[in-house]
Amino acid sequence: MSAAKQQDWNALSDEDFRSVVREFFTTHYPEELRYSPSRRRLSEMRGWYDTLSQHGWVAPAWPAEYGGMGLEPGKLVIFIEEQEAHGVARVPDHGIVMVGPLLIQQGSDDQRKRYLPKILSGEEIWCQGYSEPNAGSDLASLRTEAVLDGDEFVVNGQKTWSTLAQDGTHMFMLVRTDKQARKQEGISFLLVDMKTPGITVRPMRTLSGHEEFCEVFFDNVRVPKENIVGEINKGWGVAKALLSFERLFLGSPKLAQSALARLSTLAVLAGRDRDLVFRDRFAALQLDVDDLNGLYRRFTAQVRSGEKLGPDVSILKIWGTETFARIGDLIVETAGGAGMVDGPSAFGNETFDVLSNFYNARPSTIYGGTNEIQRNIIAGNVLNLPSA
Amino acid sequence: MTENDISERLQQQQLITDSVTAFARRELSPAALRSGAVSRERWQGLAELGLMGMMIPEDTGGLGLRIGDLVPALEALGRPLLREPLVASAVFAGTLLSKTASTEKGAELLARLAEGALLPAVAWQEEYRLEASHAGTMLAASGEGRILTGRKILVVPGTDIDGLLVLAGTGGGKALVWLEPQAKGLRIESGTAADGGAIATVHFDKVPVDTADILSVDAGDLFDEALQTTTIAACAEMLGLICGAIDMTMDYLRTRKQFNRTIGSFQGLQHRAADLFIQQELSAAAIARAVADFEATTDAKGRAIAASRAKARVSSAALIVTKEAIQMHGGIGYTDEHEIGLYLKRALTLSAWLGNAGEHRARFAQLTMGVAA
Repeated sequence: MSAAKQQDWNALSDEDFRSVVREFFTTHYPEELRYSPSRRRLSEMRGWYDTLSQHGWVAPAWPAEYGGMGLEPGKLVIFIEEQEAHGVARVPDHGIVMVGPLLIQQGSDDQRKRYLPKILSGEEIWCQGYSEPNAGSDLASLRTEAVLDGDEFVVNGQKTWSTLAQDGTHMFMLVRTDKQARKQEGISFLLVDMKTPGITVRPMRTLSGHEEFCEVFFDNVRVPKENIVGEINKGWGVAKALLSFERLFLGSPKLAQSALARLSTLAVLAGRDRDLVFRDRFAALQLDVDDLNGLYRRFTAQVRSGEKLGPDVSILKIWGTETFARIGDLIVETAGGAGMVDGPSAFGNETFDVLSNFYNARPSTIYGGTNEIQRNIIAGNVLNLPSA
Repeated sequence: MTENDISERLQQQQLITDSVTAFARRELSPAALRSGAVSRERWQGLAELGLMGMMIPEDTGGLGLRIGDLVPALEALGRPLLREPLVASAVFAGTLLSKTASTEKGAELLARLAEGALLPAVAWQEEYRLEASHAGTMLAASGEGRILTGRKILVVPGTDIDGLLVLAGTGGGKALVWLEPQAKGLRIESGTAADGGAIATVHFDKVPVDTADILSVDAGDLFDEALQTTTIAACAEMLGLICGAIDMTMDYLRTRKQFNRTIGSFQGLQHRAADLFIQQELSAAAIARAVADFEATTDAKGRAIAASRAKARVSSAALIVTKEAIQMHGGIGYTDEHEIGLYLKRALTLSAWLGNAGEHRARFAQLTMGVAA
């Protein structure tokens, strides 16, 4: 291990740590990848992944004993804030953000030894297999099944919306292992090597024209029994443990903030920045973003002080993504005729892609639990309204 | 500020908030809004809680706390729809008096206010538009003395007051003048606000002004700062109102049955209820940011931006929430006998007072985006 990997980051003062992180991104992060409007593929991010790996910075949240930076919550928030301020794009990070912490908490020693180092080195890239064509918001109704046959599970079924599965070497997935049990109780959490025979990955093109996620088909795929995480039929609890941090992450103001900056640029290009009607609407959105920031800080402060996040964190995801969507709408409206153009339009000497924010806003209110599901959570668990 | 000061400040804030919350539970109920009248007894009670003196500087006998310290207390009082004009008289007039306490008159009035023995109103506005100059009322020399001529509108409270702090032009700048209701040439024409409270149009017909009652002849800046402090305080009171309206509405959704089900189990209502909760949390976030910015800045522009960001959000949220509250109550919500309507009326009043959401959004745009075409 290099000296950098053994550093006790938590011993630094917050200010010192912030400047170390800022310095790191400024020095190492490729300029052309800053403030990326859409999700980057592995091929584009490989160099950055390697840089992170060499410096021991791949996994800020993992404990140091497993090769992470071991940041305590307050330091982690600073890390994320600096990452966002610098416009650092996500590497394919399901392994880092989801699989790693999960195995550290609930995996076996063998699983930790087998998988964690290769996430840190970037040799293995993980994708998620949760949703199915008939199990979306009602995820617990999933039907992809795993039947034990000797020392192996035989998996049959179909997963969908697997983000960047075409780049994944491994998938963590939810499978049904007991058809008799109540919905949530017959589900297990399984780790699968994507090279196993019987797996077919079909990328899906989105409305934005990118191939961001895939359908994955399983046809008699044989998976070693020891690849189950936690106990058999207890996978729902394993998966749920990952959710509240995801809601905070999905409610980050960065999407809305960068969209607002683009709107501001467009307003000047389109000659609308002095227009009173435009200004009123821009000011309203600016306040929406500012108040989103306020909420986000409140929740991150909660994490920082070691408190558990409550169900009210759902308001972040709703307000963040819907503000993002309203900004996308005003971008299209402000662009006038350029709103019909696919790809960049010319404004004088500059170009501006009018529809990218608009397209990106569409899935944001759907993924990570649709905003309707988030509202159900607030109604039921925050406002204590009775269930239907 | 040292850490000791901060923790002392937090302790004082907590003490006052606790006693105010207890007072609000014991003494206040939304129904009191119906009577319209200010209770001098309750005013005295508020003074005994230390609320009048909270923001008075320590060297003039107050606690020297800042607007942020007052937010939780105002929220607690806004929840059951405090009728008494704590923000208009204690915060607005109180801040003006604190800033002019170097005059004998200012100090005397401030002391009376802190005891709960003074109910003042501020007369500053001359047009309905926030951005108007409000400088048509003039303080002019006349023989040996000076006289005040002009008209002010939307004076809160508009009846049963002990005196007026009048903002007047002097030709060169702005003056702040104290007038008692019985002053010669002064006519107070009382009207009624949407929430049933009294507001007044005040006419000044060559009102003679005693030199001792001129609290400042250079009041422009101190007035702006007091106005912005008051604007944030009004937002805090509205936040309480928003929370109160949501509580009452959620109680209704949890108990009212139709089609053999509690109506709160219908998703159509649940999702709208969730949106109201978001408005509440955004309002709290906007006020927290405004308070932090207000206390951190020393320039007038920064303070104006802080006040406008809060008022733009909270005025809008208060109306969204109270209108939805009526809708969710159904027909009973439109009757005068149900208390939820009082929340709407109070929201109408407080959201328009000191500039509505649109006006403050426009000012926010003006101050943050440069001058419009």
